[in-house]
Amino acid sequence: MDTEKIVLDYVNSKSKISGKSKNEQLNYDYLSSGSIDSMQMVEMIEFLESKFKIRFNSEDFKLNKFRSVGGLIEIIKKHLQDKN
Amino acid sequence: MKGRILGIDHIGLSGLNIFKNTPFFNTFQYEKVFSESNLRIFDEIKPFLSTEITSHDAMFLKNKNGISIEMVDYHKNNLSQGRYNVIIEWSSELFPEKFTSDDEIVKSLNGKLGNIKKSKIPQSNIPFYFLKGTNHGITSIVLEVTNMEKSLSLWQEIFNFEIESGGNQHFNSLVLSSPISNWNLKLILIENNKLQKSEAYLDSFGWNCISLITTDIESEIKSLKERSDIECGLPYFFEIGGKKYKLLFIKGFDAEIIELIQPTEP
Repeated sequence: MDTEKIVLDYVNSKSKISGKSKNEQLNYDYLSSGSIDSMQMVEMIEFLESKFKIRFNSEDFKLNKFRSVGGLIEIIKKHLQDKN
Repeated sequence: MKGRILGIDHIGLSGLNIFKNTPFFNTFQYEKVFSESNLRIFDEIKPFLSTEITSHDAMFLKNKNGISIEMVDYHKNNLSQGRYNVIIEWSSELFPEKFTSDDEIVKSLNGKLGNIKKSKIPQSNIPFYFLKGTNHGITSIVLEVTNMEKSLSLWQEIFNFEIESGGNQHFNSLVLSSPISNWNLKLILIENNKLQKSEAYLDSFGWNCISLITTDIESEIKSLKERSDIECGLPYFFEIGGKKYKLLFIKGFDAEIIELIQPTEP
């Protein structure tokens, strides 16, 4: 499963970041724009948890890297590693 | 799988006219997101109201970093006071002539958080606490409780708050961390043995309800039903501001009202 592609595709479907360079996309702070509301946040968490069969914990939410696309990918990969 | 509390959506405030009292909150950079009038009172809300009410008006106010506010006007209020208190943080002292410091909450907080002062929302008897600081908006919520141990078990075990160091049997600071800054909540519990064990309702004056965002209300209900000290209402669907939510009201043993809110598909 291509974790990076799935996360990038999902964020792009909400925030239209596909025009940016790969590096810009990975560093994109999808929370700071103020455009994400409670519904989108819950949707995103549910989508990622169900897609990767993982569960984010409260420690994940505290991490600064949870805010960036690249950081989110790292967190998901860590959960996938811990699972195996 | 148990649901998760992602953060605080807002604190509910009742007893004010939603249009006349907005300028006070604009002072603290709260801006209107939406307002709606003549909203229906669902049957599931009625056990949390003191009397028959047929409709209400609501206005949602948001501040970039502080906790959002939902002002609700039921057009008549119960004389009881809402259970919560808020601390508004601001970088300069506003309305200094209106501050009082002779107050039990002020006494409990001073020295722990900084120089806290009490004031009232203009043209009302609804209190708020002021702290001069670098953050802007409502940054903390204070709840007086009759039994610290019981309260901690509710907020920690059911709602996943984490306790901060430095607390004691009579004072504890809890945090709910969220990836979104204005969903973070610092909840300060102060044990007050003299607290009158009286009722509080959604139509009580003041800060009467906190609304927490969850990913799964049904699984929260399962956890809540295992506790006999909590009054758990029935879930229902509600549409406001163009969005649809699943909602549930709960009343803790100090009559504090907690709303769980799960965003759902439109």
